[in-house]
Amino acid sequence: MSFFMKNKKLKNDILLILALLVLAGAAYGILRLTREPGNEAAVTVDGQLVLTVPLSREATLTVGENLGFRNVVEVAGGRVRVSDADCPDRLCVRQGWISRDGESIVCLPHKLVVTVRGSEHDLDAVAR
Amino acid sequence: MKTKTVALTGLLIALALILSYLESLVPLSFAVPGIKLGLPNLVIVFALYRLRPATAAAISLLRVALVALLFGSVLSLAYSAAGAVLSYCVMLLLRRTGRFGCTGVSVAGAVAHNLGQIAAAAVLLQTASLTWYLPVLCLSGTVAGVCIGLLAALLVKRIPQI
Repeated sequence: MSFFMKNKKLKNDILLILALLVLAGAAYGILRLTREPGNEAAVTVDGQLVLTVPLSREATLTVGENLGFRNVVEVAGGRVRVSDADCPDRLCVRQGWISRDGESIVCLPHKLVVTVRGSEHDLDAVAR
Repeated sequence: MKTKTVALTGLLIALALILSYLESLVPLSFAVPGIKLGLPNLVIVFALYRLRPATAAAISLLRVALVALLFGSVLSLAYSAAGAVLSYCVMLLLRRTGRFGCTGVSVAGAVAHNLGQIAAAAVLLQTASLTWYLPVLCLSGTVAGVCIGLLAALLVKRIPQI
């Protein structure tokens, strides 16, 4: 009886693990398929929009110097990345290039988010 | 509360704290923040199986508070508290159903921890674009949860009562 119960738990555990793996795969697939290439990169710090750059440009911009930190945002070839930063973990730099609508790079220590958007605002880079 | 319970709880909090520190020495977050093994969860799962739920909750919450005080910031406290609370609730529920083993409980706890952190970050950073991290964190949580769960199952088996 005890062996049977243990087996049942094992079975449930494996089912749970498989369900989570399928969920992860499905979520990835849905995100991947439903996102189109974006048109502009928007940079926010603490929820405030500080910068938008069309992805059609080539630009390297430094963000946050007036706030006591530094994230270098580079736009090239329809993609955007954080090429350099002075945050302790530098995870934003390691996240690499993004180009699809809705994709983002997050720098948690600086509360900075770079998001690719789809909207057709053909604005110049505006630093506020 | 018995002296033994107090001493034991303190001991387990210290253990969870050390495991958190060890974990911070080995950064696994290659590209996405929040990928980790979840070593401290070993202690929480063990406590859920061998001690009372309230004791397990105390260990989890005090660990989060101490880690934030020692190595973190207010921001990281918010992320990890959200993760820890959600993770604890999910693990307690699964444990109560009696239908899952240590591994299942641990896996669900690990994924719930990641989801809680993402939810807190999404609220604090006012952005929904963090949904991109969900698949990766769901996958990493499952893998980490299996590792920790198997270890926890061994512990629970080897230490029948304390």
